[in-house]
Amino acid sequence: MCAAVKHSTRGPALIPRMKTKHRIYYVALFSVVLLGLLATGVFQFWPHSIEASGDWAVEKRSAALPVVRLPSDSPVPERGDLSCRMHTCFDVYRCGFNPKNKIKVYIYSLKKYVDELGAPVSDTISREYNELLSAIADSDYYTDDISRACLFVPSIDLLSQHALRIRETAQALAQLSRWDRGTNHLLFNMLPGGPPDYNTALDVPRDRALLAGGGFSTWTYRQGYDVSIPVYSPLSAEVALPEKTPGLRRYFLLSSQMAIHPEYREELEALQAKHGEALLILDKCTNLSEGILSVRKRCHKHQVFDYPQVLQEATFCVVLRGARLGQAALSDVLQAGCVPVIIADAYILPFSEVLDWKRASVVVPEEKIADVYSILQSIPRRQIEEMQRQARWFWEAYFRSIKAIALATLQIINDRIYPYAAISYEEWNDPPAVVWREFPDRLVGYPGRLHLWDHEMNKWKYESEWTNEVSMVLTGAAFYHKYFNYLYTYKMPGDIKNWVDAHMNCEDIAMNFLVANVTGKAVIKVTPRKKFKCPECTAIDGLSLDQTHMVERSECINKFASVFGTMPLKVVEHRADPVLYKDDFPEKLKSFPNIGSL
Amino acid sequence: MQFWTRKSLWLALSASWLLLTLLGVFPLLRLAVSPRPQPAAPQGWPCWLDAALLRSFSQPEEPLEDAPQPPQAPHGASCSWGICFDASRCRGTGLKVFVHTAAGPTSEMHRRILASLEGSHYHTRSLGEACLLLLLLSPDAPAGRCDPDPHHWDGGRNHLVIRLHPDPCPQASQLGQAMVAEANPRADTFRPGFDVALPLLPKAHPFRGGAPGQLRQHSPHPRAALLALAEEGGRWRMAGTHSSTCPWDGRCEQHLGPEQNSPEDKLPNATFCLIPGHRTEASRFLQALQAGCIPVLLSPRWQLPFSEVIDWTKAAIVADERLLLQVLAALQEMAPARVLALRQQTQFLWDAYFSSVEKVIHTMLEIIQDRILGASAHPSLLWNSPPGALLALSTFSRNPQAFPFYHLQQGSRPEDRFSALIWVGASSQPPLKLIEAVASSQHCAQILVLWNSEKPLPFRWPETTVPMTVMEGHRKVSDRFFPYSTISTDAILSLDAHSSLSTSEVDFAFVVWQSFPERMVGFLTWNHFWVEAEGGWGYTAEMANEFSMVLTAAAFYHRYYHTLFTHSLPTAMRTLVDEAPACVDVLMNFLVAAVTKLPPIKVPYGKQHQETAPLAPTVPGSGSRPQAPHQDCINQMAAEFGHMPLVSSRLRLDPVLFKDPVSVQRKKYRSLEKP
Repeated sequence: MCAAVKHSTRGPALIPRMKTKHRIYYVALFSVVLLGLLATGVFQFWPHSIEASGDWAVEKRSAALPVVRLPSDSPVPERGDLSCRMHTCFDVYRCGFNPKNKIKVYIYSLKKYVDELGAPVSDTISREYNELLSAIADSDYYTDDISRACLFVPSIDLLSQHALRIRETAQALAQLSRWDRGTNHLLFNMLPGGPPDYNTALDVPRDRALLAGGGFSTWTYRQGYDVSIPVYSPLSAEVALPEKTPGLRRYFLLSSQMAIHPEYREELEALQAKHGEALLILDKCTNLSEGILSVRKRCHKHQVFDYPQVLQEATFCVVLRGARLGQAALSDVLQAGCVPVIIADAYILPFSEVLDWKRASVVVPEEKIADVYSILQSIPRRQIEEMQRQARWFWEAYFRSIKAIALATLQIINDRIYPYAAISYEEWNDPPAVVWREFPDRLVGYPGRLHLWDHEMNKWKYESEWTNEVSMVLTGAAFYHKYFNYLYTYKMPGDIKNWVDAHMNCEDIAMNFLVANVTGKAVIKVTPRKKFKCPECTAIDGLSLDQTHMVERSECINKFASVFGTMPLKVVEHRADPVLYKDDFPEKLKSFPNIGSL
Repeated sequence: MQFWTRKSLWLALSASWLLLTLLGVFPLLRLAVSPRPQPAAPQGWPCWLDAALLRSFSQPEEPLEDAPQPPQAPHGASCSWGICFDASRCRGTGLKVFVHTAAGPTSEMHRRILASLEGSHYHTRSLGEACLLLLLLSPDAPAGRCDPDPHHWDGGRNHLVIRLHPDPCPQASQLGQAMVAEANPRADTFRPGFDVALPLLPKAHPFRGGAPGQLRQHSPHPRAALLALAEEGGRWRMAGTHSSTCPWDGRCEQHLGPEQNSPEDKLPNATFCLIPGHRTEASRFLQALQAGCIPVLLSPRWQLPFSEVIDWTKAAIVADERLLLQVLAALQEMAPARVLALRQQTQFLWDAYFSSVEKVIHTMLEIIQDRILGASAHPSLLWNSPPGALLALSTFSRNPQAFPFYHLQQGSRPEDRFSALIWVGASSQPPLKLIEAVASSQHCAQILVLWNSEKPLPFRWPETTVPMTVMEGHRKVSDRFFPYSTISTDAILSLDAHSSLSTSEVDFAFVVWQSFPERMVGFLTWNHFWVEAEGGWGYTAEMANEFSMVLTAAAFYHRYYHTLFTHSLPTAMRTLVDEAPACVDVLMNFLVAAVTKLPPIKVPYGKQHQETAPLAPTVPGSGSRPQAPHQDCINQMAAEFGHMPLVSSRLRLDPVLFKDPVSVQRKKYRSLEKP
């Protein structure tokens, strides 16, 4: 900057004395500057060169990292034990006593690994792996105390096997300070295997380490030990697809992947020929003009579609395996609220240990690809809508970011270690909502009361005797499960308990609200009884007392309804009497002959 | 002139310089700022300022993936549902199961399993029709008999091999492409979604019905033992109480007298049952489940039964045996609500899937059926909440709210309309008055007449505001409970042509039904009782203080029970009803009680004292002659169900002001009280 200022201030002084020679000199200088300017511009805005500059930055930074030289004879871990389970290969003692029932995760510090000749073992860390480690470091699981950790995450990026030198990476793992045959180490990998046979799990020898992998198959996945994770789609962050209301869409079935085996593409195209417009089979575009990102476009004949937006136009979207079982397209499809039709034999779906994929996807064997249309046609519309909603929700909760993927993985491992504090099926699979629980069951009492909506005052009103309906029973004498006492004491919402204490009234109404809210059921009023007190003793100070009482009780109902945010009480028109109540039958033979007093 | 050129030249020059510096310096600055991790950050993971510059793990220009490898020849360990089972063979007829009859010695258990298979509605006797072939390996077969029948074996494709006891035969993978249903299979060779994990059944496990759960007190009792520990020799050792502060080393074990040590089948009376992980201890799992003792499985080496569909985290705890101390501390501190929920679930699961051989076998077949159905299989809620997937048919609906049992749990309410289904028997008159009374109910949506009379149809039906349909019946009583597609509402009011009801009776009964949509709500009742002298059940229509059945001559119930009646009851029972029509009421009440475990509901009926037998235990098809209840059918039904499902009630639900000494004008259902 200083240099620039100097030039520009000195410049004008030189101008008057300029000669031809000088002019040539200045023109030359000007063109040099102009060239520089152009070069910088290109450097800044050319898509390829931004990575070059990134590389440069990373290179520079990695130069400052501590370097670990791996001798060629340094130990290589065993290949990996297929029989590993939590109780055989995982050292649970490290997780020890922990009042919060949360595992502690340690992240090794970043180092640069070079082989004997000084050549780096791998590229530096990828953006996603950096994000993943940051997510763990920001979470409750993180500890920076290696001696208290229960799970170790290396900062060696294994997300894509493509970028790795396998033997040297394994050697780098083996020299981690707490490696101990990989016990309690968690490795993340999304793109396993390489040509020609594309293994379905990471090829790096890793001994007993847990693998969170994308694209497991039934024969590489160690159930209850490994974690199957999604292949993250960078489009999740780049493109915002607003949630669309579920329902049948323009295309019934869409195939959008570019690398499909020709044989499968033929079968899909045959289907399209048969069913016409309902199907859309897209391929990569061959005739795009320069500068358009080919990953964001798909073509059908000469028609060009935007990807992933086109997915929102389809009810079902095919997710076929490519060379790998795990496909990033799954994430895009879920984001679009399109029901994935998964055609990848033996593929272990992401987070299948906890997610109920039946509710969000259709799995079709590769052999049955020709029948896929008729299989999908048999699904009722209502169910399709549920699946679309569920698909979108899975994406939002578990696919949308690297952070979501990392935290779900840790949660699954955490639940294995602290099963009594584990997250339930409903919490994993249902969008957050109130979950009703079945408990025994209703309040049973004698005098019944009713709540009514007062249309004039626009609020709730308490009603006492002689109504045709009942929504509460007085708890002066009532049967209920003692569990509700526990609920009353510990789970009463808001400040209702304080209100009751302050007014010395309405504890029974509060109980009625609580039970109805938990069970969703009405009370049961038994026998015709209307009051507890004997009829003769009531008429002491008559109406006025009665009226203030009613006003106060009405106030309670309005207060509680606002705290609960709803009116949980259920109105019924029946009461329970003995079978032969008031029937023409000998009183002596009746079980409960004395019932009937008010 | 030159001056201007020069000046503009200079201006352009300096402007360019300025731009160049601005553009050039910033990237350089960025590089300079964080060449190494932030030194002061307390966290072990650095926050890069230039994280955005990092390369993505998946490069967009990554070369297109190669063609997928040809599908590997499926065999043994690599088998999975889509690959080794040809579900298309089940497409036309649905799941049909053929059982290879086993030669050689058969055990009692073997016979019970065969009988259960034959009793299933998936069973077929024709090999050509079947899409699943079953092979039952006998536990006492000689080692050589493990080789499967070579006849229709076909490499094991579409076969299911049932192994009652662990390890009588080689590894599952050596059975070709066959699925294996095995008791307590080893967790490490089990193929999820392909094999089926069965429970290990004790030798004396009953064929049908089975003992109910043993839990009498759902919330933990302060003096009951907290823990029972499975010991060798089939005993349970009690340890620790809720009130004491026992250390966990077992020093304050309770030896609860001599009977504690003796009988093998003694069920543990504790809140939690610790079960070690060896497969030899797996048999204790069912005991704990039946007793309502929450199973705490310590690193089980075996697969939990039916783990494909049952969510065991709701009824059991799978913990690491090495963290025993921590597990025990967590159990001690577990919230009462959680304990209660877990215990309730043990009882439900025991009763729904495990208490008899028949239930276990039918559950196994239902799992296979669900795999074939794929997307329209039972959702998890139906498997894991009462009454369970065997009684909640997925062919009826996949939506839990469509079933009568989940209305309240799902926070929904049954709809406000009902369909009246009137059965006109052989010699009945057209029920003109009845139609008028029912049609004037504000809740009535439609009237369906099932015409089984020999008489010709009447020329004129009464004018009604609701649509009326007349259907010709086949003179079979079981037709009465057929799931007619014309029924458009959840609620059905089942009526006989002889029944006589007033509109307000119908209205009140319907409003009651809306509160109890899973039960039958009726007017006239029967009661069942045990006849000691005959060693059998009897029932009576006489007025009594209790009742356990309501007559279908006038009753509200959910239309789902028609589906259940027609599609889940064994054909034998429906044939029995067609031959002895009086039994149809008994059968319907048995069915509903077996599902709900609750009694039906009685509502007041005004006319029962004026006319001699108004609704009467008359038999459809037998004219108006009152008939004593057919005593024998209740015993036949009880034998078919394997237990007595009926539950007695002493309640009648009346309108709130029923017969109260208050002006009739204030009462909503005043006509119910007319003398």
